[in-house]
Amino acid sequence: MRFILQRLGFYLLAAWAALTLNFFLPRLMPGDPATALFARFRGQLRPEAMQALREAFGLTPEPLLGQYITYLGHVLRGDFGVSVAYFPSPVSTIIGTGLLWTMFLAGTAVAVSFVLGTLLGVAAAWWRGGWMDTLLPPALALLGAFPYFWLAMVALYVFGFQLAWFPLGHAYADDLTPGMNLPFLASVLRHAALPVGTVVVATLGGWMLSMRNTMVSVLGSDYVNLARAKGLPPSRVVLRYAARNALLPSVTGFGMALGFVLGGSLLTEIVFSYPGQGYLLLQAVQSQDYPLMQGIFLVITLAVLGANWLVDIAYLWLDPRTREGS
Amino acid sequence: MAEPILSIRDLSVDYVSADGPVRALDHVSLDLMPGEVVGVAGESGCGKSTMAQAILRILPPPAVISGGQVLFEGRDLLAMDEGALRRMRWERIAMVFQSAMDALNPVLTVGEQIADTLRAHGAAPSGRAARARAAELLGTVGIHADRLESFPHQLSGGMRQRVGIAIALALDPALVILDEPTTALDVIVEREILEEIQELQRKRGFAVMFITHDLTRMLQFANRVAIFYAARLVEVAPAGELRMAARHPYTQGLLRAFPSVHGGDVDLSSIPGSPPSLRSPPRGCRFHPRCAVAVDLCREREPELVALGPAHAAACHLVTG
Repeated sequence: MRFILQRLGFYLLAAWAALTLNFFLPRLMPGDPATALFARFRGQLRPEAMQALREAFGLTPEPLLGQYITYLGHVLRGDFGVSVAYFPSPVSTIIGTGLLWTMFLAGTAVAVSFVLGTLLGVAAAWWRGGWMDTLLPPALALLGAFPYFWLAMVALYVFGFQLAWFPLGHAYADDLTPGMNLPFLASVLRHAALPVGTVVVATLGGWMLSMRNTMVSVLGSDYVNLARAKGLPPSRVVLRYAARNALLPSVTGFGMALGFVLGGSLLTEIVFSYPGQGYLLLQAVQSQDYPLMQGIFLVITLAVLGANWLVDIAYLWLDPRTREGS
Repeated sequence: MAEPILSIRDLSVDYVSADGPVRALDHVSLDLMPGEVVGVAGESGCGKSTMAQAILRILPPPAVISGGQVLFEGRDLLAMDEGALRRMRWERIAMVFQSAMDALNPVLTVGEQIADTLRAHGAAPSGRAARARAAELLGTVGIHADRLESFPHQLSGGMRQRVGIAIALALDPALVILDEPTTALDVIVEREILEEIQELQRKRGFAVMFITHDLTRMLQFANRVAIFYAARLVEVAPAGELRMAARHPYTQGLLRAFPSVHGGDVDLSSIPGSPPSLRSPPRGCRFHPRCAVAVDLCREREPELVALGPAHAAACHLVTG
């Protein structure tokens, strides 16, 4: 328990550091975003708008420390300001819906890829030198080596456009109202199939190879040898003795991946016009929407930290050696 | 004379590598009688542990058993199918591993690791019975039952090795292979544990194959001793006879390298040189480059193991003429 709180404390500190950087970085830049934005519109904005923009960015004449405190207060209340591109929607509502879709899409993709890749890795190591061990890794490595956007576009062209098995974009059919009903959920799954599928295909090889390699070394360890000598059934030797221990390094990787996909599903969402965070970020960059960008960066940071904290907790549960002093 | 419980016949093991196989155990034959304690000694890499793992068929790749038989109670373990072998493992033959540190699964409690052995062989009808038996087993090696819930990292090296012994005795085997059971322990704990094993052996009467590189300990414990050098068995004799009248120059050298238990006033000396690479063993007798008394024949022909007495055999041209 103390360990979990200690880690939580560490991550809170890291989150605070991220918030602070997020506040000071724009202010360290020459000029300010409001002026830059104003200049970009070349006189199409009236001077009053300049003042509104400055306020939207929190650039009040207050001293820096005062601004900082106001900013922290706003962030803690979930107030990231007002979006420029989607004026006058607050950034928090825009990020909210995008975040949900991204969490669904990226979360599913990473979870499926991790579970499938890990199982394949276990199987490849157990039947070392078998067809799964000799054919799959190079095939998956090949798929993983293609630029992801190219793979995604080919999949979209073949399965979405030519064969028309899957829809071409968006998270659900336009003629449906979101809700907990079967047609809507079915539509969501159909729309997620291609984006999730391409991410899984592109990342499966990595999970499989890392699990396979750890598994091979664990299979050579004394305790697995003892488990076999004890006459335990093979399933127990593989799962409880070998895979259970080989899983530990992969779990760390899983936490990292989970955090990064929240920001890194950018390409997926652009290719499949998926209304998630990555898509929002693209739009924010294109329309110079600084408040939205800042909000998204902050959410990504917090997501990475949160995922890592969850992995710490999972690790505690998985590896008794980390439980010391708790 | 009684039938041997374990009879190793011409056993060979190869490590497959990119530049061809490396022979780690070369045509070794050795018998064990029921209830007998046989010591196996030799320098690191001489094939002792390889033989132990080959008997249970748990050699990790790239090692492969390339020939021979392991007859246990008359049945060839090497020809047995996996299912039959699994029942044989631990119910009849158990093993205590070399490294107390690495032989226990770090993510399972000590209790679970004893209980799963019992359950896998149907030796405990329920989880509760398995726990009770596990507690009893820990008791026989001097560990309190509240350690059942401990994870291996929470135990000292000595305790871990005791747990290893408790697991080995779980199903009352007829043969226990001790593969350098005290290597990772300090001298005092080592003595305690060996005395405990001896005590248990006397009480239960299982046969023991005791593998070590510590000849002094072995001569105290074993009835009979087999000496290995560079993947081959070079001498086998009753412990007393070996101590007083070892015939192979390598055994004699080994004996001079260890202090006598009886405090005999002999100068200690080591054998010059180091064991040959198994990748390209020397022609003739493998010991000849380090042997002080080698003659021309030793450089040319490999000596066979020849009987010198009822239970004494050695592979040396000089003793067999």
